[in-house]
Amino acid sequence: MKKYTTIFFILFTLLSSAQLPKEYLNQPANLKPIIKLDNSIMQCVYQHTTYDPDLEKYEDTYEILEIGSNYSKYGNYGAYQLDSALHTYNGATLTNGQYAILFKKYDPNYECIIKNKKNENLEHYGKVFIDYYIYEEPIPQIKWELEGGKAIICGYTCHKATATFRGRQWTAWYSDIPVDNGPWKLGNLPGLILKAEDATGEHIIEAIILKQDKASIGYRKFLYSRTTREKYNKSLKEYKEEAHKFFQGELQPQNPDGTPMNIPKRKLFYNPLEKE
Amino acid sequence: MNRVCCILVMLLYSVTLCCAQLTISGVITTQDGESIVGASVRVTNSDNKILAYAISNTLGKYTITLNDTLPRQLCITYSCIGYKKIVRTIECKDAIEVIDIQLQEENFEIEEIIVKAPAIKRIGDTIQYNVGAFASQADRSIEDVIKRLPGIQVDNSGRIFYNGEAINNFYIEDMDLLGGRYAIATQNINPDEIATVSIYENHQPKQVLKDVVISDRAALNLRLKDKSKLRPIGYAHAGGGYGEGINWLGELFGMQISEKNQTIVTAKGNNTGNTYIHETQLLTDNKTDETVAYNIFTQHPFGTINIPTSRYYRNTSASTSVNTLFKIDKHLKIRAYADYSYENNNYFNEVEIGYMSIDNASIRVVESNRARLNNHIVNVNFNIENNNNRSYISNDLALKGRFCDNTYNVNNNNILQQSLNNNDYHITNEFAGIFKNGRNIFDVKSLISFGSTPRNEIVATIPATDSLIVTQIATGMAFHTLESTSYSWLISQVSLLGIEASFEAFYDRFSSQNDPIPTPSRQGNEVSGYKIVTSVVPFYQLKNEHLTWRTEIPLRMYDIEYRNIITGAKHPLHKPYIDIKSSLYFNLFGSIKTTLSIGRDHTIGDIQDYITTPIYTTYRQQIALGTGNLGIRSNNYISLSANYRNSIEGIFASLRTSYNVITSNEISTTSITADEVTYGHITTDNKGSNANLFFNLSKNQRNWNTTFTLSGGAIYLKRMTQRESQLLNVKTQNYSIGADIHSTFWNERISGRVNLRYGVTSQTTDMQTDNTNLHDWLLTAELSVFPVTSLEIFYTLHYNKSDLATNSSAENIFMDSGIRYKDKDWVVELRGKNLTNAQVYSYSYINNYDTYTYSCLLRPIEFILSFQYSF
Repeated sequence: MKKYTTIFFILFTLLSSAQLPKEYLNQPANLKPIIKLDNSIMQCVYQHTTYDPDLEKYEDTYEILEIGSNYSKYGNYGAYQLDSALHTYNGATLTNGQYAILFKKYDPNYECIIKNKKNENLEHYGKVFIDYYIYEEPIPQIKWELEGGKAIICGYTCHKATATFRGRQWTAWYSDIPVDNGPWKLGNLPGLILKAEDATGEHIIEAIILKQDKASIGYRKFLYSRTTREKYNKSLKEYKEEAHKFFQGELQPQNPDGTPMNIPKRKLFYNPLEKE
Repeated sequence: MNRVCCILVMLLYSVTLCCAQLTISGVITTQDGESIVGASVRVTNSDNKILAYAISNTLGKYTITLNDTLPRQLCITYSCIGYKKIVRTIECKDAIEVIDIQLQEENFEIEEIIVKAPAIKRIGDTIQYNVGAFASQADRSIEDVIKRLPGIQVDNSGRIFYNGEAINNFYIEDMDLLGGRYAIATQNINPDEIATVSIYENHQPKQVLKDVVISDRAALNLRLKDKSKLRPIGYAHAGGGYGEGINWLGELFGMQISEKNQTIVTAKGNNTGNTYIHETQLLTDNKTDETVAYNIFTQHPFGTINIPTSRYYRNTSASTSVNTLFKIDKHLKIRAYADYSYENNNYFNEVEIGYMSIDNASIRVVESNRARLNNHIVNVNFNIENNNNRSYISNDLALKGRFCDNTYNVNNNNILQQSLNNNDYHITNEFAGIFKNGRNIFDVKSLISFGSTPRNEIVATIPATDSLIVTQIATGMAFHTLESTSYSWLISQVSLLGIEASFEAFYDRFSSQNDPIPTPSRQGNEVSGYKIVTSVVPFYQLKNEHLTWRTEIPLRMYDIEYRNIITGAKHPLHKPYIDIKSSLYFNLFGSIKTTLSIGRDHTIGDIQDYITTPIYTTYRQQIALGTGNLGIRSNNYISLSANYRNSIEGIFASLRTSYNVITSNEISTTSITADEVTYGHITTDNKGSNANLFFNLSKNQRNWNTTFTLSGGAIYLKRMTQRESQLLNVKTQNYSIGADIHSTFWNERISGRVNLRYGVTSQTTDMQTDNTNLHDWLLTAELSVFPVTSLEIFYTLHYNKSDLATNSSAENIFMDSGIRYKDKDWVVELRGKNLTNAQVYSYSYINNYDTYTYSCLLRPIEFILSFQYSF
């Protein structure tokens, strides 16, 4: 934990344009290995617009669904782009300085959902503050109502379906691409979901790119702690609403005179996809 | 017979329909017998409507149950990526169908698609423009991009309009740093730093009034790119050149935006014709009260020209400003700004005025003027605001000082010199508090404003003989306070009833004399007094998802007393007036936002009505502001505005029209001789009317990278006036139409804009047999070519043809061009202005029944080489 904390603060300071020793920047980057699961047949990039009613702000993030024969992965597009960029090194040594530049450019986060078609389970890889967690659950069998509407999303004709799932009323637009999958945990429709939005308008996820890159599906081997979906969601909510409480103990910053520094109370941008 | 018919109907029914329940199941495998997981099974009818579906599980099994009345034939489609699709048709005979399928492998290919980020996105009442979709390499500031956004117009002062209405707030990252002086931001921020420009329609800035009090105005918000936050950004710009003399410029702009603090700093100077006063002026609602004395003398008593001042001003301009805002917490913000502007501007113009007299003869006056304007303006402002959904508390303190020392050298057969010296100070404090408690809303406002013009003087002399022609002094003081409170009660979810009470008081003093020692034949004005308005405004609002209706019935009691200190006469008035205003907001045909307003209001005069002794405003022109009687005007009006937008199609359309009938007890009067003109007012009951219509239609054609805009207007004005003791009716009509096209093409290597405008002004009076019509054509074109990405060659053309009152017309052509090279953070630019070396610009306009023709000496051809570093 201390090692990861050290790496986190070093990288954070580096990205904040602080001056780091040249020797460190020239050292080989010690990256977590990637555990490969499958080869990706196609990818779909989504634009996810989220509204935080407490902060009254909208934020756009980009997420990618990688579909393989047995596995699929839904995660951050910046992380995908960073991994693609790292592939170009292909065994050549990457330094900490080079890695920091790439990290700053793509701003990745390594949270993702991996669905395993064979055992019909999904694994959620997440992060609360600086700690990594994993929980497992069966792939949700969402009960959709097929509606009559049609729309063109990302160049494909899509059909409308609605369902209530974990506290939100979802409208999904699924295409004729025969993939039982979609953004986040949504799926169980006879076609790839290209757009999903909840009735409150707080989450709109829409496909903007469909492609067939040659890529592998996997996850970075961080030290994950096993937990449950409910515990993870509760912990994440606490962190987003009162992040200052997490800077305690050895993580609490200090004033120049050595006394503990007061971290102001601040809510981070957050609106959970599942409310129950 | 009946039995036969029954049987026939049943047979017919059974031909088309099947049994009520059907279960289809089976196993989907590869040709090698391996089960396929996640294959899609769809059941459709003959219309291709999906009736049911299933996904194969880990064993390849699927089950579909259909419970509704089914058609005779069903179509089942089996598909999975990496396998060839199979379609089966089944007859709906049995209740259970078992269909096992073997799918053949097939190369999977999809059509790769990349959707560009939408140029315009609508999220609720917010229209979000993606700057990247509209920006062009030729843009110098974010204002150049904003001008191009469909639905948005920007005038020459930098004021932004959305669908024809000026915006009421300007934000950077949802915070109001500039307090309405947003040209500082729009004319300096690089478009590369901005991610999106958002319009908040029907923007209610006070959270406590959200969804309670509707606003028909919009606000604009700039959102920065992540890379532009948390660090200083800006530019340093310096250059030199030659034209009429040596040209120079030096400018610095810096900005830092973070979540808790925003700061903008500017320091600028130049003599290339660009003035800076417009950057620091308030572009949203102006709260400053001016004294009567300050407004008596204009900065341009011998006229000015309707083209940018940079074409004809020989200037030395300097400006500096500091603006900062601190966000203490989510709701509490503190803002402060201070700015100073210095302008020393010289220009040469000639005016020919054709005064129409009642015997149809014309008195012509020709004056040439060489003006030197010397102005200093200082502004300081402090603001604290707490804005949350239960209360709104704000206090704004503003101080302003204006000092001018102008000289005009006039040639009107005689060489004379006129000077204007003016000092003016102003302090305003505005407090607002709105509190919401359940269904009750309490509103408290206080405005206290004090202005003083201790010195305002014109002096006209003949230098050759050192003789004094005119000395005119005007001084004044104005005090204004407004205290109001209101209470509203939310009767239900849709209904609001309330009452507002206010107390407003004005105290003014005005003094003028046109000689250092007043004599009976050269008396001035000495007037002071107060005006107190006590108002009670009951209001009712009905608001549901379809419409909002709000009606107010202001009852105002006027207590007025002004005193002429010289004669001792007092002029009291104690009288109530009732007004009414009713507005209906609704969506026409579901998508056209419409506002219909009708009403009647009164305008009651003030101290100006008692300023009856004429005051010299130039060496040959006098004005008497009042008649000695209080001016009372009532205005009955009806107005309609409609706005339509389809952000996906990029269409924005707006239409505004209004009709007013104005009843008044005074009219303007003019008395003209060859040596003097006197403007005044007389008391006589009269009625006038005006009608206007404006429209704006813009379409953004994304696939052509082009925005088309069509706009136009019509104004009709009818009023009564007096000339040489004869009452006359004057009718003025003005029509204008314009088109604008902006496009980038050939991979954005060429960017161009063409704007064409035509206008005609027509006037008839009782004493004219023919209409006076003045036609005006204006064409502006801009072109930028990028032979390589870092090199820009630009060119602008301004062509204007306008009718002159002398039964001739004038053509004016300006051409500017230049070359610009950009390398990372550095830009080098060589610009040539007025390449045709046009010397004079001329145009005419009609005012009442007099025609004014202005000519102005332009800045000659000139060049400037400049360097800019962006950080």
